[in-house]
Amino acid sequence: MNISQHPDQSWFVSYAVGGLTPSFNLLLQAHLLVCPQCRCVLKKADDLGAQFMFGSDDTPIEKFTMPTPQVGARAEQSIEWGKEQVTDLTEFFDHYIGMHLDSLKWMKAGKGLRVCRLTDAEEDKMLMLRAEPGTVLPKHSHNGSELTLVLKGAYFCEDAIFKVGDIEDADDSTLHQPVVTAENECICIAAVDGPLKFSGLLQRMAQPLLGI
Amino acid sequence: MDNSESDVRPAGADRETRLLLDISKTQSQQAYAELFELMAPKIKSFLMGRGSSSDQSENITQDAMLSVWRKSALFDPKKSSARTWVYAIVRNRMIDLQRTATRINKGVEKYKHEGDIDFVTTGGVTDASTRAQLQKLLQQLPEDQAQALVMSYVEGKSHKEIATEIGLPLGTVKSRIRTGFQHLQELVTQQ
Repeated sequence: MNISQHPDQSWFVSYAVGGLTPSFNLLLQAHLLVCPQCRCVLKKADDLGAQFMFGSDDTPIEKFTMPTPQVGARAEQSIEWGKEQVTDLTEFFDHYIGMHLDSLKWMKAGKGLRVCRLTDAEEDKMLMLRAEPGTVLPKHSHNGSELTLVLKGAYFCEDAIFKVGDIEDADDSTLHQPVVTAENECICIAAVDGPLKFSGLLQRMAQPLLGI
Repeated sequence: MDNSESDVRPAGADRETRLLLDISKTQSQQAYAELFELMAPKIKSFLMGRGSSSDQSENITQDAMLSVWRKSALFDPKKSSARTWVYAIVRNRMIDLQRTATRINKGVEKYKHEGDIDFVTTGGVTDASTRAQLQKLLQQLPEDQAQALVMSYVEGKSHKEIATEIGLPLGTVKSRIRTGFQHLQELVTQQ
C-alpha cells in the first residue's frame, strides 16, 4: 500500500502521550498499520516520551510490590512500530466494530451519501461514510478536529487525492468539499471532536437528525 | 540461571536493555525483578504527574510491567531502547483503559500553570525524571514550543484541550507541537 497523505506529526505526539480520545486513537492506529513513515514519527515521539518518563538516573525513592510473572505466559501483540506492514484495513475495522461494513445501519445523508454513526459521545464522534462514485459531499468546516481515513476507493479534496490508508487532517481553519472519484464507491471513517459546520442550509437542518 | 551479563552493571538505559534481553532470552525472573526495581517507580511517578491517584498509577504500572514480561520475546534492541519500548507499552495500556471509558483523571487543577514552563524546571511536577537532561533541552526551545510539548507529555492533553486552555487556534497548537518536537529531536541528536 502506497501512502501519500499523512496526518500532521503533532498527532503522533498526542498519540504517544495517550492524550487522545478513542476514535482518534483508532484512526491513527489503522493508519500506522499501513504507513512506515508515520510509524517512524511515532517511534521518535516515544523516544521523547521515554526521556520524560525515565530520563533521570536518580535513584527511585519509592518501591512497591512486584506482581509475579507467570512462566510461559507470552503475548504476540507487538507495539505499533514493531509490527510488520498490513495491507487490508477492512479486517482491522471488522474486528473493532464486530461486524462487516455491509451489515451496519446506514442513514441516507444526501445524494449518493450514506452515514453511520459508530459512537455517541459528543466530544468523540466516529462516523462511517459511504459515498457512490462521483458524489460531491457537502461543503463544510469544523468546530474542532477531523481525521478522515479512507478504507475503500478514493476522493479528491482541494488539490489532493486521498486513497486507501491515507488520512486527511482537517481542523477549524479548513473549509473543504470532498469529491469521490468516478470509478468506485468510497468508504471512509472519520473521527471528529466537535460538530461539523455546513455551508448549506439543508445540511444544517439535517445535522441534528444525522447526529454529525 | 545465566545472568552473567548483568554483573557488568552498565549504567542507566544500557543496563535496562541488557536486563530486558535477558528476560527475553531466558525468562529470567531475577532480571525481571531488577528491571522492575529500576523502571516501575519511575513509571508510577510519571503517571502520578499526570494526575492519576497513587493506587491507579500503581495498577497501571503493574499491568504494564506484566506486559513487558509477556511481550519480552518481541523486544528488538535494533529497533529501540528498552526505555522507549516500555514507554510505548505503558502508553498502550493507557489507551486501552481509555477505550474502556475509564479515562485517567488528569488532575488539571493540581498542575495549573500560567503559560510558562517553570512548573517543570522548578519541580512543580514531583517527577524527578522530567528534570535532568530534558530540562536543559526544553530551555533551548522557544517558550511557546516548550509549553506545547510539556502540556502534551507531562499533562497528556489533546490539541483541543491545549487550544482551549491557551486560547489559540488548533492549527497554531499543532504547529507548535510539531516544530517543538522536530526541534527537540535535533537537539537530542546533537548531544
